[in-house]
Amino acid sequence: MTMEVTEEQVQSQDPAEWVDLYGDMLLSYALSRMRDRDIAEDLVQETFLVAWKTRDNFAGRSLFSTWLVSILRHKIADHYRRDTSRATQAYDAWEDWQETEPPFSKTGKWSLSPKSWSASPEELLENREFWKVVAGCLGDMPAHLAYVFRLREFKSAKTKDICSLLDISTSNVSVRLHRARLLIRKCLEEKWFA
Amino acid sequence: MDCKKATRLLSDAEERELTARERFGLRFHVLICTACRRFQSQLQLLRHLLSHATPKMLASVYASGVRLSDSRRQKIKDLLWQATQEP
Repeated sequence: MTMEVTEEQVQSQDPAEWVDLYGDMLLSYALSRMRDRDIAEDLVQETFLVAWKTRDNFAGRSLFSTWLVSILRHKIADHYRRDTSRATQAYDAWEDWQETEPPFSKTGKWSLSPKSWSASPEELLENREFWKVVAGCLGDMPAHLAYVFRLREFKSAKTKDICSLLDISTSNVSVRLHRARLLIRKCLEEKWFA
Repeated sequence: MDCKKATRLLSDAEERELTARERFGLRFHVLICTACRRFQSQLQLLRHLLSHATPKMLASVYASGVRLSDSRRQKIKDLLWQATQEP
């Protein structure tokens, strides 16, 4: 998706370029672990500053992006240690995340039954407008769901790799994927297949 | 089995192998429930589209995600610039 910075470049490059190359990726990682956007942006900021200070430690054994994410992971862990009251509210709370319009009634039936979609897969694959709608639906989704959905469906990441990347359980990943799929289905039905 | 559980299993089926009991319950539910049958075929369509779309098309969708705000982007660049000036 982005080009990777090499070991030599890390030593010679203007670090401002890192921000353009990796800033969005780091923020979406941070937002997959926390809800507060300001704190997430603070941690991304700290990550870049630490990366600059410790750039000699980047050995080129891993990708630069992976190295940056590992710094950010530590920053996130530190943040939760500092602020234990927030930690519980952080992403465990998403387990019982309340949707504004729950897809199912209390009795487990669809609140709004899915409609029949008339679609030609071949046409949709070529249709830029359709993919814009898909992008919009992903953008409207809570960040912690969209992040997991992207990894799984766009990067074909394995569930176990998502678990270790985000330090979350398999069941948390499958809950997030299920919710993401319900949301994108509903969004596409409203915005495209209506 | 209700629709909530059935849709969860339909989604889980893309992540893991369902147990024989789950498969049996799900097959029966989908047989009698039009809504969940539609959900199932919609999931399949999505999967098909995402696995057959051109890399360029996918990249454009993928890249349209979270963006660092312009003000924060500039702030980080300023701070990094300051850091590069330090000995």
